[in-house]
Amino acid sequence: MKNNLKIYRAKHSLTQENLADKLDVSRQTIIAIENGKYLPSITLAFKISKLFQVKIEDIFIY
Amino acid sequence: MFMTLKKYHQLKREILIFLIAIFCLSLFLKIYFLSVVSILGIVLFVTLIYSNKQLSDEREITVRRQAVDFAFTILISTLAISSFILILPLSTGWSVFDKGEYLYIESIGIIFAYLVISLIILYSLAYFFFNRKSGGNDNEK
Repeated sequence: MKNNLKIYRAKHSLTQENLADKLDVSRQTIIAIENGKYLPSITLAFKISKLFQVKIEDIFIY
Repeated sequence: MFMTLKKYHQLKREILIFLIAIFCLSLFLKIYFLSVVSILGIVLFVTLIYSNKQLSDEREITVRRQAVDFAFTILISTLAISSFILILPLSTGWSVFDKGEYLYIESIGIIFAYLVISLIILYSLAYFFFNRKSGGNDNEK
């Protein structure tokens, strides 16, 4: 599954470390999601969409 | 969550203590091959898992579960095949081990067989319990 997390993170001028802190996950998890190596849980996906104030499907493309 | 972070760190400490105890015991009993294997286990465990200070999050929990699944599958397959090899040939007479000469090998096979059966029973009960807990037995209303 592809995602636009990197784009939204750049739009909000956040580093992977900053985003990880805000979402209460590790930086490795952010890297893994951005590279499409890990599919986040629905809870984490909602947290991300809430943080960027967009719909989940805007970030995660199915 | 199945295991809290505190419990996980406690479990890591207990595993390390167990490995060190096995190492000391093997030295005391002069089983040097076991000492080497336990040292290898300690080194791998400390470098790959124990010293990993990164935040425990959902990805790490997923990785941990995958590792447990993988290790369990390999362990139970190895034990099952070993028990089969160690028990069956001895009773059929076409064993590379002559019946009677290597009785301890048959005993190890029997222990492995009990262990495999126990693990299968434990897995079945755990599956039933967790399946029921997560609504697997609920009927549509």
